Amino acid sequence: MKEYNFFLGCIAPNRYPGIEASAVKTSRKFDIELRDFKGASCCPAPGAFGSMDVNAWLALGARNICLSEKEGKDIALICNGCYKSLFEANHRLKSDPVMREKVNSILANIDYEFQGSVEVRHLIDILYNDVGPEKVKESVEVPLTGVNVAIHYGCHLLKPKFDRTFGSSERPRFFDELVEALGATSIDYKEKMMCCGAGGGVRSYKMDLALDIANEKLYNMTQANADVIVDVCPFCHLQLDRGQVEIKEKFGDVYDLPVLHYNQLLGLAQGMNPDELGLDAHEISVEPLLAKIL
Amino acid sequence: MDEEKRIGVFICHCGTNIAGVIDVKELAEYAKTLPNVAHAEDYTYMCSTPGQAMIRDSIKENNLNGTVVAACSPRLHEPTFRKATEEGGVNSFLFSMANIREQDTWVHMEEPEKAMQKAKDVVRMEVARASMLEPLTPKTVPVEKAALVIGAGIAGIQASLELGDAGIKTYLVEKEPSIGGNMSRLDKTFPTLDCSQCILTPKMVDVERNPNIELMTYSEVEDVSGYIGNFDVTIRQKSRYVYEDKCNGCGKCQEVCPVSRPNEFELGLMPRKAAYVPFPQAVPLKFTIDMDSCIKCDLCKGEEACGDLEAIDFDKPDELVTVKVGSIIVATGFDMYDVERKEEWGYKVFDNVVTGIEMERLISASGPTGGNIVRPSDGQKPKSVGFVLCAGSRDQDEEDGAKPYCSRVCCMYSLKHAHQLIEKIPGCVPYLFYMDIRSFGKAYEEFYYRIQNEGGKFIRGRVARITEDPVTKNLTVTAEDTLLGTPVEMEVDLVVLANAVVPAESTQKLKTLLTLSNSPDGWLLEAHPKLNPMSTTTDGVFLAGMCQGPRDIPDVVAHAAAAAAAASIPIHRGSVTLEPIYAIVDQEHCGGCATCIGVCPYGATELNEVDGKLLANVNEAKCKGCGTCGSACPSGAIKMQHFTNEQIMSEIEAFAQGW
Amino acid sequence: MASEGMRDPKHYQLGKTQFDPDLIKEVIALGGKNAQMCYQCGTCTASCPMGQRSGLRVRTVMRKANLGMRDVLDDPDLWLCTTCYTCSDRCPRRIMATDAIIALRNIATREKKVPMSMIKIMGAISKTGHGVPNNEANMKNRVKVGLPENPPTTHTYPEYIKDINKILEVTGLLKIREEMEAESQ
Repeated sequence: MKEYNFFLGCIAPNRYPGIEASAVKTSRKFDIELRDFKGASCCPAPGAFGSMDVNAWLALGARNICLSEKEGKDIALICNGCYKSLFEANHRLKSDPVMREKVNSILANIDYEFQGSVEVRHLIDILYNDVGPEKVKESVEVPLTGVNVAIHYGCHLLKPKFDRTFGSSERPRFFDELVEALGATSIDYKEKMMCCGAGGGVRSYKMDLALDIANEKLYNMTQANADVIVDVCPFCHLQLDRGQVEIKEKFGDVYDLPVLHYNQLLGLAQGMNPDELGLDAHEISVEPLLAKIL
Repeated sequence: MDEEKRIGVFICHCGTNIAGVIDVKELAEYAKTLPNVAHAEDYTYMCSTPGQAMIRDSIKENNLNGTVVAACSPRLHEPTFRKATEEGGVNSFLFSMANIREQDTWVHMEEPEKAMQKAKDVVRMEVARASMLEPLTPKTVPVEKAALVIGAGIAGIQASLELGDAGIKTYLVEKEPSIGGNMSRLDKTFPTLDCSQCILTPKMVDVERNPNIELMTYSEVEDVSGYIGNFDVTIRQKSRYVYEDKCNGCGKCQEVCPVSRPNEFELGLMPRKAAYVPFPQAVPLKFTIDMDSCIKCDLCKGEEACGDLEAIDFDKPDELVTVKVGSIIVATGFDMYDVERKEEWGYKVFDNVVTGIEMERLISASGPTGGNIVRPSDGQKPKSVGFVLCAGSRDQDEEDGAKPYCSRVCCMYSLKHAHQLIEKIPGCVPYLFYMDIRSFGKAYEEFYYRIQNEGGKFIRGRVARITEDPVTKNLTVTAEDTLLGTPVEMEVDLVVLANAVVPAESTQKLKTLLTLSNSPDGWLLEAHPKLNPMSTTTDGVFLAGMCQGPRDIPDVVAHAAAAAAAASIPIHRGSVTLEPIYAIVDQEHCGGCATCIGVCPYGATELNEVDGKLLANVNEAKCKGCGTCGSACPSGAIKMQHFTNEQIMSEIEAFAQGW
Repeated sequence: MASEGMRDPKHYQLGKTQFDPDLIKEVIALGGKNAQMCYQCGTCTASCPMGQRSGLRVRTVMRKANLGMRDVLDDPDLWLCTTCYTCSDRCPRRIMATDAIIALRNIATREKKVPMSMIKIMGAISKTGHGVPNNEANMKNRVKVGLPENPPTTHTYPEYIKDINKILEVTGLLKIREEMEAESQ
C-alpha cells in the first residue's frame, strides 16, 4: 500500500466531484491510498496567478508542498494545472538554491520552510510508470471495446518538456496506452496536442477566444468519429464539457460529445456505477457512451 | 650547475592585451629583483622581428645563459622565442615562457591588481624554472615516404590524387564497397549545375589508375601506432566473400541472387541484392556479398552466374594488413542529422516528407525513380513543394540532437532543388521557408537571384509544424511569415527537410586511435581555426573536408588539397625533428618491475635484458612526454626531460615564496 | 488630408520610441529564460493556437521585449496567451517564450495594467483559498458520490487562509488588488 496526500485543487472538488471520487476509488484497486490533504488550497492557478507574480505563485505552491512535507507524504494530484504549479515549484526549489532562498524568505513570514523532502506526482504518471498498463488492464471488468476515445493530454502535463520527465510533447503515447489498456480505441485526430484554450487566465479574460480554440478541437474530434473525450485535467474538462454549452449559446455549434476524466473512464471499465463516478453532474450527457458500453 | 645563471626576462605588452591591464614597467622592475636575473626589459610586441632581435642581442650584450618571455600561451609563440634564444647562442631549451595573457590579463581584466600579483607569481616561477633547465638536443628521425588517407569521399579522393601525383605512395582506405562518398549520391551541384557524377567519376577512375594510390575499399583502420614520419597502421580488409582479382564485375551473381533488402546507397528508397555493388559507377567495380542477409543458396556460384570464374568464396576471411606511413589524412566526412527526432515535422510518419539527400536520389536519373520527381505516397508529380530550411541546424535543442551551427550547404542545395523542380515539373511552385538565405560563395547570391526569377517563393519564417491530410496525404506547413507578421498554413504536395550535416559516427573510433579531439560542435578539432585548419594537434595527422566542419564541395576540395600539401611536407623533407621531451630510465636504479610498461598509454616503454637483468627502456620516438611512467615508477628511476622533479619543485617553491 | 505626410508623427514613430535596455533583463530575472537569444524565426507565432485567431504574435512580443519597447506592457493581446508552452517546446533557441510573456505580465501587474478578471481570481483565493470555490449545487453532487459537502481543504479548515493572505501581502499583490478594486469602483 502506497499512501499519497491527495491534492485536490479547485475544479475537481468544487465543480466535478466525480473526478475526485473516481480517483480515490479506482486507485484502491492498485493498492494506492489517496488520503485527505488537510489545509491545502488552490495550487494556485499557474497561468492566472503566475501571470501576476511568479514569486508569489511559487510561494503559495510551496506552502501546499510544505504542508505535505510536515506529514512526510508524497503528493498525488489529478489536474494538469495543479501539476504545473506544484511539480514545477518542487522541482525548481529543489534544484535552484537562489530561488529556494527567495521563496523561503517569503515563507518565513508564515513560519514555513521548503525542505525539498517530498515528490509531486500526477496520478496518470503513477498509473503509467508505477502501476503500468498491464496491471491497469488486469483491473478491467467491463472492457470498453469499440469505444472511440479522443484523448486530450492537456498542455501542462507535458510542457515545457525541459521541466518534465515525459520527453517530447509532440507525439506522446503513454496516455493512449492507458486508454487502450481498458479495451477502448484511441483515435488520432487533427491537432491532437492542441491546447483546450482555457489556460493562462484566457477563459476569464476573453471567453470567446478561449472557446474558439475548444471549438476547433471539438470539431476535429467529431470529424474523427470520437465517442468520448478523455482528459486528465479538470480545467480542460470544464472547458470541453461546459464549453460545449457555451459554444452552443455563442456560436450555435452542437457536438454533444461526452467528456470524462481518465479516472472516470477507468472506473467504468472497473465496473463501477456511473452515479458513483459523478457522471450525472456533467453538462454534456454521458448516456450515449454508457449505452455503447453497458 | 657550476656556471653562474644569468637569466634575461622579456615582458611583452601585446599591445593593450597585457599592458592595458597591468603595469609592464613595474613587472620588469620586479623581475630585476629576482635571483639569477641579469637583465629585464619590456616591449610592445616581443613576437615581432624587433622583439625577437631584442632577445637575441640582449643575450650577447648581457652575457645571458637563459631566457624567460612573459607573454601569451606557449602554444602560440614558444617556437618563436626558442628560435630567438637559439639565435643568441643559447640552447633553445634554456628558454621558459610565462603566460601572462590567456591565463592572466585576459581572464582577470576586471581585477588589475590581482592580475599584477599573478603576473609576478608566474614570472618568478618561470625564472626559477629557467635557472634549473638543462640544454637538450632534438632528435631527427627519417620519414616513411608514404601516406594514408582515411575516407574516400571527394575529400579523400582529392587528397589522394594530390599526394599520388606528387609521387607519394598513398593508401586510400574506404569503409564502403565503393569510393565516392556522399557526393556520388548528389544529382547536380550548385550553383553551376554540373552533374555531380559527371565531375566525380573521372576523379574516381583517376584514383583507380594512379600507380601511386593503393585503394583499399570495404576496409577500416583498426589500429595506429607510432608517430609522425613512422606510423604503423593496421587495416582490416573486410571480406567481400569475392576475390577482387577474379571478379570481372559482370554482375551475374547479382542477377541470380534471390535476396532483397534496402540499398543503403539509395537511403533505402530502392532495394538491392545480397550480392551487390552500391551503384553502377562504383569504383572498384567488384561485387560484395552482404553475409548478414545472404541465405547461402549458392545460386551466385552456379554455372549460370559466377561459375568458372570462381570469384565467390563464402569462407573468405577478413584480412589484416599493416602499412607504414609518414603522414595521415583523415577525410571521414559527415552523416545527416536524424531529423525524425524533430517530431513536429513528421518525417517517417508522413509519407510525403523527405530529406534533402533523399530528394537528390528522387531527382537523380540513376535513382529509384529514374529521375522522375514523384511523391512517395502515390507516385504523382508534386505541384507544390515546401522546403524546411535549417532542419536541425541553428538549433539549440540538444535533447533532439539538433545542432547549433549553420550547416552551410542546405540553403544552396534547397535553391538547387527549387530550380530542378521548376525545370522538370511545369507549373510546380517551390516554397522555401527560411530564416536567412546564406548564399555566401562565389556565384551563390547570383544563383539565389536566378531561382527567385524562375519563380521560387521565399517565406521568411521557420516551420513550426507539419500536418498530414490522412486521405490525400497532402501536407500542411505552418509557419509565420515574419515579414508580414502573419501565421501561414500552406497545403503542399511534398515537403523537403533540408536537414543538418552532423559529424560522422565512424569518426569516433578514429579519434581515439589518432589522439584527436573535437571542438564543442562535435567536428574534429584543427590545430588553428584560421591559420592551420588542415592540421591537428597530433603531428603528422591532417584533416580534409567535412570531418573538420560543414563546408561545400569547392571548400572541401581546397581543404583536401591543403591537407595533402601539408601532409607531403615531412615526406618531402625526408626527416622530422622530435621534441627531446621524453622520459629517460636511469638503469642503475631500475628494478625491472615493469610498472611503467602497464601505465604507458603510447606503448613506448619496454623491458630489455641487459647483462642478464631485465631493465626498462623508453622508445624516445614513441614517448609523448606525458610523465605517467615517471610518477608510477616505485624506485624513482624515470626522469622526464625538460620537466624534471627538480625543475617542477623549483617552480612550486618560487610560487610559495610569494605568499 | 493635408496633415498627412512625412511630418505626421506616426511615420517616424520608431525614431521617437524610447528603448529601455533594462526591460529584457527584468524579463529574464522573472523567469523568461534565454529571452535575449531570440532570432525572430517565428516558430513561436506559428505554434501558437491563439495567434491563429487573434492579434497575439509571440515573436513580436519577444522583439519588443528585446528592444525594450515598454508599450508591449499595454498591449491587451499580452493576456491572450493560454500558456500552452508549444512555442517554448519548439523554440530552436530554447527560449521559454511563455515564461517571458508571464514575466511581462508580472511587470504589467506591478504597473496595475493587469485585467480585472485576474484580480478577481486573486480575490477568490484571498477569501476562500480556492480560485474556484465550492457552491451549493456542487455540495449536493459531492454528497451523491459519497464525499463530504466540503473538501478537506481551506474550505473545511479556513484557519489556513490567513497564511495565504500573508503571502499576498508580503509580495505586494494585496495592495495592487486593493488599489485596483478601489479605482474600478
